[in-house]
Amino acid sequence: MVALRIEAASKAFAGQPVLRDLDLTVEPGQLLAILGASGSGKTTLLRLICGFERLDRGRIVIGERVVAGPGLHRPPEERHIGYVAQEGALFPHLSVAANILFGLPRRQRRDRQRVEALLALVGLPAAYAARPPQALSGGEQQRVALARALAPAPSLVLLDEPFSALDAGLRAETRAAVAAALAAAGATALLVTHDQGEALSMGDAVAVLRDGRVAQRASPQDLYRHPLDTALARFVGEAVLLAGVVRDGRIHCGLGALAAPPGMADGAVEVLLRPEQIQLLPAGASPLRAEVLGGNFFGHDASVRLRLLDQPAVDMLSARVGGQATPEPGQIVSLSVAGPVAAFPAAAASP
Amino acid sequence: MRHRLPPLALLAAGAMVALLVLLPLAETLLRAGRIGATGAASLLLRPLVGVLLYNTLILIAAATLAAGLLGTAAAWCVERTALPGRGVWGVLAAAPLAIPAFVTSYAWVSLSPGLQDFNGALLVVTCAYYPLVYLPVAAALRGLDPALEESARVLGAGAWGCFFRIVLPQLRPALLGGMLLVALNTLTEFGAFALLRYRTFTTEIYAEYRVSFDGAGAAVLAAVLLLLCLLCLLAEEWLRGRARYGRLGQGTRRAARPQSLGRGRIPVLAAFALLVAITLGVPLGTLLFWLTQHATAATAPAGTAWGPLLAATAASLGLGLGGAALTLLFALPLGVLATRYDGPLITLLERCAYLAQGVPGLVVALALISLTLDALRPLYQSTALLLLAYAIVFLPLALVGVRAALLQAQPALEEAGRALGLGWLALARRVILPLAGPGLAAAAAMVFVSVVSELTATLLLAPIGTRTLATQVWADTATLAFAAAAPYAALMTALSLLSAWLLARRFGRGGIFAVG
Repeated sequence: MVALRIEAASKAFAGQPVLRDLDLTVEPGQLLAILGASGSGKTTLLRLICGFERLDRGRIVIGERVVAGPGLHRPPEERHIGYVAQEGALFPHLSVAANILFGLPRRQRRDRQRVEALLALVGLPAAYAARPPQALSGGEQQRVALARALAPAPSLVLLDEPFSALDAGLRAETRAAVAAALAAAGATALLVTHDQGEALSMGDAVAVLRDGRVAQRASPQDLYRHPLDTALARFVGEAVLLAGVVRDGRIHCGLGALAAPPGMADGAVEVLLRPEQIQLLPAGASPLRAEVLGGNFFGHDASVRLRLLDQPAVDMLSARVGGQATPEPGQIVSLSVAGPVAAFPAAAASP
Repeated sequence: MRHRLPPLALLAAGAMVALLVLLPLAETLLRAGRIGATGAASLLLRPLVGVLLYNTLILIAAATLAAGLLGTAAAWCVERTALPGRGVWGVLAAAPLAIPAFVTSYAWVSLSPGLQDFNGALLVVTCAYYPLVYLPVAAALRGLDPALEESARVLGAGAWGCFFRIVLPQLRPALLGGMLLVALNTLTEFGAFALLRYRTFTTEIYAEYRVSFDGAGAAVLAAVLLLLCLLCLLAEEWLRGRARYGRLGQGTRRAARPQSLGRGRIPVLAAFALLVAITLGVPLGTLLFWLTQHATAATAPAGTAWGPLLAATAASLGLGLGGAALTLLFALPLGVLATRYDGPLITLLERCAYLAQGVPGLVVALALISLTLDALRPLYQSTALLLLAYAIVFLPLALVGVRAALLQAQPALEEAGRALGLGWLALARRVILPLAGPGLAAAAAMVFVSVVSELTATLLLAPIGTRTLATQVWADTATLAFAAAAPYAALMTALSLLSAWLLARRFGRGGIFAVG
């Protein structure tokens, strides 16, 4: 059994296709992150699952129940799902407790212990129950929205960019609290986001949406290390792409001869490295010499722009170094490559 | 910029205006007070007062309820359903505000004399004032985050449950505020009820004043009416303070997805057509009908002579322009104080000005008459006094517009202009006027329209021989000369509709709101 199954879902707005034959499944207890740029169709997908929009073609099955399909459209209130909107959408005229208990049958709407348990689940003190939502910070509002969504024990929780309206510090804290609450509730969840870091850090699996289809679905590690094409490689993180040639299991490129991924056929390729794979060594420590052009300092780390001295064909590289040892512009350093690299046959490098 | 002491001259001007507004209020209460406790008691404990109170309160209860239901239903259909032609219906639902209530009343009375009772009064008041509910509720619906309704639906609430548990509580401030405005307008309306022969405080005060010039009876009734109006105003103020319109967060908002009407489409369309036919079709159609009748068809004191029509138009336009100018002059110092400075004194002055909203034109006129008769006889029945009455009655209306206009020219922009080396004159010419000018003009236009269709104060204070469009309609309809009244009423309504249309086109649908 799967918690959510979407089969060949299609949706167009005013003749403009937004989803094209999209297939997706979510296993029970899993947190699947849907990652996509704006316009990729991720919000439409969420609204179709909620029942706010009607499917043009295809089927949506939640648990064992078909909720949308040919000639069938169950209204949102009959789908038994949890939904956390972008800014929480707490009801401003109700207290935190009344918000949390909103989705329960009338008899259960006075259950103080339930409110306290749910507040505790999302890491908020029980004293918040009587407050109006206006008295809460943005991150706290999101946590209450999650508690409200979890209260009726839905089989599936949908989160629509729930952290995008928060500032950076609050975002990290709220993310952690939400992830913990979802895990503690054992909830199956779908998190829609355009933030790569969020998708990679929170998802048990990540599905990248592109042009209304799932371009790749993989574990966060797999997605980052083995993207299916160069566009995906760039989308899920910073990428260093170099032209190279595979011969006898080795890739020959501007950074020397690197081990090719197993099973790679001979021929022209594009090599993918992540900036943190390029390590800076004292000058002379390796034959690969580079000049530091400049960099951006972020505190915990820094990105460094480099020019290879003996390889005019490679115009610029980007490397990532720790925040404690940043080289000066003009400095000459040596480079080495750590870990396996990915490569794409040159002809099929871009979709 | 704020928390600065305002220039003394500005403060003095603002205080003068506030005192002028308080003058009729104080005079009315003092005059009633002079009668003494026993006198007042004997005047108040008449069966007549009971009848008036019953007539007024039952009409207010029925009219606010009807307008509340009608306005909310219309607003919801226009803003939240896939009703065909939503934009057109939206305009048509707001338009009745631009037709003076006593013209609507004239139309119905001329159709059927049988309407001269409670039912007729309820019909006319609801038709004329339901936009006062429709407009704020529609605005509140537009401002309501659809994510709230979506969240409620996902949490298991059906369409009706969602409306009653989420939408209606959010609409409550707008809805109750609009209903209180309907109540206030019903309390102060005079012409419509006089034509319908429905006795309320206003009609009785007018009648008693006509019978005995400076009578104690009119004074006591005026005081009671004033207190009822102030009660309404207080309730509205309290409601506004409590309102939690506040949407949480501030990101971009998705437009609401219109609800499909399904099989209800045809009935809803038919209901809208009926509503428009009753609220707009009947008044305008009746006017057209009487316009095409020979004046002799009804008992007409005068044929459709161009001379009196032109004279009345000229008088109305002149009074409108003068009234608008004086009102704007009064509103400016208060507006500048309210938008540029801060402090308890300024809040107090502003509140005083808004009090005028709760003082009916009839009460203002009577108070000004008794004041001038007591102390300033040369002013009695002068154009200046009439203009002063307009300025007092329409000050709150002008103040809303002036405030909004002056807020367009933000202090930061003025500071930027100063920093770029502009002196005060250049600043006013190159920064403030271009920014605030259109808004000020709109405020003046709103006052102009209101003055042109104002009846009560004009009737009581106009200098002998001055006839305006409104008083002419009144005079002719009072003698059942419906055809004779038609050209005057048509011209007045056309002026009002045209201005409302211009204002709405310039400032959005809210523009019409202020005209009422």
